[in-house]
Amino acid sequence: MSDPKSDPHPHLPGGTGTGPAGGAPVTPTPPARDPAAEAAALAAFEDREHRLAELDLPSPAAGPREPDRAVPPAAGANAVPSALPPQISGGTKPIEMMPLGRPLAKPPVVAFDKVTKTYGTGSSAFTAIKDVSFAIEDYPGRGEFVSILGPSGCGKSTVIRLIAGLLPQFPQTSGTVLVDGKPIGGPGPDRGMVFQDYTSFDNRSVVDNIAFGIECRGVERAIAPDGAVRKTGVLTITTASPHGFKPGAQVTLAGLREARLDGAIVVASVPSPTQLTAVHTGAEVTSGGGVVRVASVAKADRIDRARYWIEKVGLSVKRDADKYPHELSGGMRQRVAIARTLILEPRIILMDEPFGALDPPTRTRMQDNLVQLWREQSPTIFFITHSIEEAVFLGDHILLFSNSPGTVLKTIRVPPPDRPSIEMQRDPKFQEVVGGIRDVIDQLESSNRAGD
Amino acid sequence: MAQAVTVSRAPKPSVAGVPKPPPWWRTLRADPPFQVRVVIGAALIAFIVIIWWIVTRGDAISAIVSPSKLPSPGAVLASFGSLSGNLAEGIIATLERVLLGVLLAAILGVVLGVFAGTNRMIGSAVAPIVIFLRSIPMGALLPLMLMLFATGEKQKVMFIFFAIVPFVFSDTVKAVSIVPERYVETAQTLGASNRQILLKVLVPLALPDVITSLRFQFGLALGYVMLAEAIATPSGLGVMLNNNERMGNIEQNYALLFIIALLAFLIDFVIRFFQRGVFQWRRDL
Repeated sequence: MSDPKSDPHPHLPGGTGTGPAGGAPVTPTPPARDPAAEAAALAAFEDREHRLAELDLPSPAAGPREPDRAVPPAAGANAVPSALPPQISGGTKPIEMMPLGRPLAKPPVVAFDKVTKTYGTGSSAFTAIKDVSFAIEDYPGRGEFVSILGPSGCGKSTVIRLIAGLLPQFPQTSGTVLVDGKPIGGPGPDRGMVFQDYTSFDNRSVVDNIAFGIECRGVERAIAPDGAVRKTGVLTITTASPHGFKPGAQVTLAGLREARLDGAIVVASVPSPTQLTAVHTGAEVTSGGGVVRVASVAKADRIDRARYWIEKVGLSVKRDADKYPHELSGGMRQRVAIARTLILEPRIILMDEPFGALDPPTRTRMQDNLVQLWREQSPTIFFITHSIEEAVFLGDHILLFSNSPGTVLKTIRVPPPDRPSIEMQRDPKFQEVVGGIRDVIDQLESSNRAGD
Repeated sequence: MAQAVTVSRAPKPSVAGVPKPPPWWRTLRADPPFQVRVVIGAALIAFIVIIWWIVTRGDAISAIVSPSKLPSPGAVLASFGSLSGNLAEGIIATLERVLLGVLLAAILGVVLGVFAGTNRMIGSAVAPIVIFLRSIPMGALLPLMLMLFATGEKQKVMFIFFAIVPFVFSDTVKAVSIVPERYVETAQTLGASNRQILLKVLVPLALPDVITSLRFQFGLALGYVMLAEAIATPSGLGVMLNNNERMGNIEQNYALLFIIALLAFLIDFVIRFFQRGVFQWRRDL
């Protein structure tokens, strides 16, 4: 299943002219639509997109995600990973990159293949999404930011909730949804979710809200590829991000590939923030990734970690830590929700219009904060929005959805956020990208109406 | 002159240019100031007492209403003194029964309610029985309780228990059910197990409403116990009311009614005070 040939990176660069993602859009359109008009709209868009790709948006030389963007549009898909530097430093946390060349052998983080979801049966059946196909690649230490854009009721939430494994959207009626090459079994902390509605637990203070996941699950850290090495009785584990375990902590190893080392160990020493050692009897091994976990974290430790995240999302430990949700504004509540998700360092973060209910100035501040956090932690983010500006500003990619039944109409590659939201949105070139996408949506909508 | 007309219709400005808001008595659903509320509340009580005093003035023959039906305010006030002897004993005996009955109902009703609210299979299984129990008029339960538990303490406690447990149960089911699904989903995506969601999300968020239900049921139970105490009981407020009736001490009965009402109010007030203190995150309690 990790055969590189099986995933042809349909959304990847060259990006500009590659056309419909996964072959979904133009071909199997529902009868109500006017295929000719849609094809014309897409053609017009592609032409425009070519021009957009040529815009050389100024980007700082030191921009952490810049190398990806530096790939000329004409380059082949395989050229991307090799253009990545071995070390990307984002903010305070250095992010270790794994040896190059391997990523393409890994399955995509999220892959949808001809996914359809139908509710009900017979005459009352309603198809929310139909034949949705896309694949988001797994670049270690550098997650993609995928904006999902489309009209209301086009099944954007269905897609995100399918990835989250939440009922009743989960499971799909047909097709396959794979996360890391494996089907989803249900909701889990590796796929964090931020909802539009405020979901801070009303009975918990800010700090207790943020610590909720750790309280339930303990702390889990991915083991870096080739990160578990055992020689002469000492097991050395390198985690993909700082783990924060202290010597003496009881740690569980799970899912270590290539090595039979699963089970409990006690941390002997912590040579660096991302390393830990333990004495372990058993065969000498070198192993691929897995998970290392402390099942229960002491309350003081939990609060320490939560406080770190309070500051990270732009709240103040002094002022806000002990406040209850009813004392917070909408923006602050969403900051809490984001911190609560990020503290678990999930691979994937699903955001269902998280800023939809916020006023514009708060919204742009939250966007900037989110970009910064994403760069530091590099999860793969799926972000639903109604705002084209927001989608273009935040996203690496935009999945453009069409209306009922929802399907991926187009995968659009957009320039990275290289300045604060406000500044970037003032740039005429940014506005041109937004305008281009708006035109496509307008044309598609009018062609839909004409087809009615 | 059109301008002059508009100006005269506008509220009279207090400071130059700043319009005055309409007064509270002309604003729909506006509360009067606190002092006004106290004064008008007290005024109505005073008015009723005066009427009471007028209709009971004079002796048994000259009074408009016979003192055997409505004694004068003075006589009722005087009877408070004669009550004091066994009043404390009566209050304690009655409260003990109510507390015990409510406590039993709370344990069974809340625990079962939490499970039924979380696991809809249990909920569907228990629903018909609960609906049946809720539909039985309280008074109709009493003869059965007498047959089952004779006339001892057990009968009174069980009467209260059976009278309120179905309501505590359904209120608890409701309280658990109305916790928005989003909270459950959020907890799931944060890695909480079903058990953790129950104990860390559903129960804490439902608890304020469950306590509110218990508070209401406590007030009702105080009413039911009077009924149970009417039959062969050594002590309690209900017994005192009954004895007074037999001995023609109507003044004392009026005095007791005031005391019982005050007691019910105080208990409610105290529970509510603690509820507000403990669940500060609920603004609506």
